[in-house]
Amino acid sequence: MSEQQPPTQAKRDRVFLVVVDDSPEREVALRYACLRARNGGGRVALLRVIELDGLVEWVGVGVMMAEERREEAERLLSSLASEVKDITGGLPMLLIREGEPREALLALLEEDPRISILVLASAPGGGSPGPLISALTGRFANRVRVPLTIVPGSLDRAELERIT
Amino acid sequence: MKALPRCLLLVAWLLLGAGGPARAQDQPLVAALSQAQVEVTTGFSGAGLMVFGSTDQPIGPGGDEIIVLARGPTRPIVIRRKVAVAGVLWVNGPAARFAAVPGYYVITGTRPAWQLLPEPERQKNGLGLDALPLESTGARAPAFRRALLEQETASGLWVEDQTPVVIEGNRLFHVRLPLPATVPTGVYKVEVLLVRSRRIVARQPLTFRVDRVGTADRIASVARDQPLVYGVICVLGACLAGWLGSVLFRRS
Amino acid sequence: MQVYLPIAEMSVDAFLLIGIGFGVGWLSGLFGVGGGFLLTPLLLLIGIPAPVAVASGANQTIGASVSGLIAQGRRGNVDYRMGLVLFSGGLVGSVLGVQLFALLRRLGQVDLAVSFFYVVVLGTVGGLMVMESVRAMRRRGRPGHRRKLHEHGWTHGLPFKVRFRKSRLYMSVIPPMLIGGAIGLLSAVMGVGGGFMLVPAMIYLLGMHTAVVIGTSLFQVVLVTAMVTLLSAIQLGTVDILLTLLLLLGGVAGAQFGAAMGGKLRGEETRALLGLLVLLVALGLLWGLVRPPTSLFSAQREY
Repeated sequence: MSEQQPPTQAKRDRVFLVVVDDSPEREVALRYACLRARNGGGRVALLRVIELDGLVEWVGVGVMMAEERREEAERLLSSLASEVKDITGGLPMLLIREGEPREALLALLEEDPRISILVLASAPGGGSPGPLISALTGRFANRVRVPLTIVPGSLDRAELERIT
Repeated sequence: MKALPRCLLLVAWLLLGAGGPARAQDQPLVAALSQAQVEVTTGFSGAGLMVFGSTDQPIGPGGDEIIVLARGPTRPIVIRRKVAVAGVLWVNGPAARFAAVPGYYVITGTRPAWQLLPEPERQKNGLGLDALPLESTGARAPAFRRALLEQETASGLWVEDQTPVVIEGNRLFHVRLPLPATVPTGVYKVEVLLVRSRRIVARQPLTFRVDRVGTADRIASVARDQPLVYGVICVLGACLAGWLGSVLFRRS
Repeated sequence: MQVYLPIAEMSVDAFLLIGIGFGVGWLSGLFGVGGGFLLTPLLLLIGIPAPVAVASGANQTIGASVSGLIAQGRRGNVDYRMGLVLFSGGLVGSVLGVQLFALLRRLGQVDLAVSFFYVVVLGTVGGLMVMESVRAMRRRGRPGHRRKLHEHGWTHGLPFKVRFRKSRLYMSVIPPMLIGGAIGLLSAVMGVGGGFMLVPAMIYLLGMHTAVVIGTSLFQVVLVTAMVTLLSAIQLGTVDILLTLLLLLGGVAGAQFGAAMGGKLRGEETRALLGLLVLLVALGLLWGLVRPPTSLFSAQREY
């Protein structure tokens, strides 16, 4: 943990959680979280949820699928981790969970007290902001234990630099 | 659809014409059916059809006797005999093909036909399951014919002397023909025979139809006449059902 | 409530059919794909003629697979190019299968052949499933076995190579076509989708990327069973749409319950049970073949 001039202990310990899905706006949320961590102190945590297709008839096939999904997730997270390190200077926490993305996220928030802020980026364009944001601000809002930051997915790098 | 009023007219004509004063003398036997058409719907689970009529002389012991014979449309049936291959595996072996097997055969009378008619007469008229002419090709053993008889009797489509013809007063008679759920569709021929002194003295032929109506009929006729269209409907129907299911039961 | 099935030409209790559909759908929801292998034997058991049971079984498999296919397609887990190559083999296989079926019917050996196929295929599959699950249970707790990368050897020299981007393969189209053909043949004769055999074949024989295996197999299953349904309707006249729809009515509901339960069950035990169930069905059908028949004679309407 070698952040630049950590203002206080509390600030250094705060954790920005970014959900790594396959949407294009993931990039924006990740960048925002990194910049906040760099400028104001704190760490970044990356969560990748593996969705499995229920049970398969064959144990071997099921095991192989789960392994491949996990390997892919590890590969993805470690490449993102180096991006995070480039910006913040510190390595992020890497979290891999299995199951349905929304449920896995809510369960993680309940279990892990270290997480202090959840960062989500909304989908640019006119449509819905994305399934996670819709769910967490709507029906599941009372299960979110931490403050939720919604970053507009249309922000570019310069704007992100400016607001963090 | 058109057949129903026409058949009703026929029945009415028969009854009126035969019952009219001018004809009463020369018509020893009058008979009719309760229905000219039986409709097999999707929920069909069997029905009955009444044959009724009257004679000009007393019926019953010592007097005239009535025999009622009903036959359905014929279809080809193959009877196969199982043989054990290598002593364990039971496989269909020799077969006999019966080209024209009536899909429905019911005979009944005030008494069984064999009591009423001399044997040659009964055989000649095909009255009774053992007098049924059944041409077959293939395996020749009589066991195949016996198996066919057993099969049809067990299915309730072939019935011999199950419920006798009921005599009311001594001029009226009626009997109910059982139509189980599996009756084949088509034209059925009913013959009412008047037996006097061990001879057939009058016969009245009647017909009725068994039709599929409603959904079942439409499905079967589309499947038969336009199999390609039907196949496409089946595929699309299944897709639609699966898709609807996933929409209805989607867990949100 | 009795309903008259127009093609099977018999009256059956509608709730019995919906119940069978529900049970089979529940199992298929529990195990992702499959479940159809139980349907045809159950239909035979309640007295549906074998040709109708097989063709309508294939027809109901379309409905049972289509929602899974939509879900997988949305997540981008279908390799359509690979699916079409598999289906081009499946097309040939299903045409051959329907011809074989027509021939068997003329010979009066449909019931025997359907039972025989089921005994052989289900016996093998069930045995392998049980063995595999038992082995996995024993190994539990120890580090998982590594995936053995598939051998390129047997397909390397074959021509007509194509790039399958989503499957992460560059290979000849001949092996997937052969596999698709075999599944198409089984589908026509057994009335199943064949996913339970296609999935391991795609992984172990073709070496496909596992993320797209389920979606692609569903794609192939839907196409092949649609083909079998169409051919059976045209050539054999044995598809009973009322039977299919009643089975699907129970099936789609059952599949949702199964899928909801699937997450809560322990994998190896459940799959060992599934394997046992498959074996049981195979044994039941085998018993039907070797048991001395109550009646030596059987009657059949000639077509």
